[in-house]
Amino acid sequence: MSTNSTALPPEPQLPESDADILSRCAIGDRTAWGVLVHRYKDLVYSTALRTGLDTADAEDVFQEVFLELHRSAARIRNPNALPRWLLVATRRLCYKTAVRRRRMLPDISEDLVDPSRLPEEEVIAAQSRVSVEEGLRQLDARCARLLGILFFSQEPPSYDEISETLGLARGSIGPIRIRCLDRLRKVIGDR
Amino acid sequence: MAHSEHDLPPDLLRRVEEARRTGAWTSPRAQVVERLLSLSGEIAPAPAVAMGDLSRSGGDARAAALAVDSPEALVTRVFAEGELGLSAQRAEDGVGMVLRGRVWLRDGGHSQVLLVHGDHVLAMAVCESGGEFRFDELEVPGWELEVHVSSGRVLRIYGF
Repeated sequence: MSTNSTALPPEPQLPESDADILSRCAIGDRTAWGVLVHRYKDLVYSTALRTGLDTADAEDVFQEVFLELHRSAARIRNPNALPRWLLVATRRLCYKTAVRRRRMLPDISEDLVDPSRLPEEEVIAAQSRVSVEEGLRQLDARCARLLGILFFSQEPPSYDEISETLGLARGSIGPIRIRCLDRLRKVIGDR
Repeated sequence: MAHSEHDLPPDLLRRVEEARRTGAWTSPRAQVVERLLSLSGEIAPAPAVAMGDLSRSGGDARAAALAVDSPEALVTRVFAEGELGLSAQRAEDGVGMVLRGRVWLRDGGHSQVLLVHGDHVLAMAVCESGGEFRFDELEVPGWELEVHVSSGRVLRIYGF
């Protein structure tokens, strides 16, 4: 059997909506639950770390948030605002952990318990980040790595650095990038 | 030559710029994720509540808290399927609360007791008839306790 190395990878699938996944979770679909955990694990864990918790406590909060989500799956009123729901739960559980540990952490305050004090810009940023990351997951590995490096590196990399990191010919990076962006845009759409 | 984003479609550029405001993200360890997936597979989601399920014999812990000069509110309720006894007490640290209670069912069996805040199920316990449940949680204004019995009816207690 021969392979055609010039063939384009298949068109990416549109990611399943949070509402559809949650409705499957509510009836005990473990595959759907795994998709949901992988979609939001970095948001929850990174938020817990940013409040000043250490790794062990952030891992406990991570677990508690998702167990709360699992319990609440059938009741979430606005499934398409799931990042907000998760941020509210994460902030409350970080505060609870800090209180139990009797620790005074710089970013821990009672404000975390009040959902109305959740900054809207934090919600929008989280929604966009999850949307872009989820879009990247639907692309082939080469596109996902290339765009991931371009979008989220601490310092914007040069094409020489990208060429070395990804093993791509320097001259091919531009055209590949354009194709990958086009695919990502189709996947993200109006999410 | 460095990467430039001037040619990105405006909608995608906006998403990327918003996404970058989250800063660096860290993934939890793979073992932690696996442990969660394994743990959550053993627990059923809490039942949803339809409007028709709500029992009319609900109670109100706020009224009980006002009735006596005490940090502890005691609520008892008799309903068609059984009885509930609840103690709701503010914790000494000023931010926590402890809810303890028992549900006795006339026909035996078990009930599900849920501590709810909006669309968050903060805690859940399955209680055999006469068994005790206990929740140690942060005090969140507007909490509610739901007792689900096998008939499908729900007793709801409004918290302080």
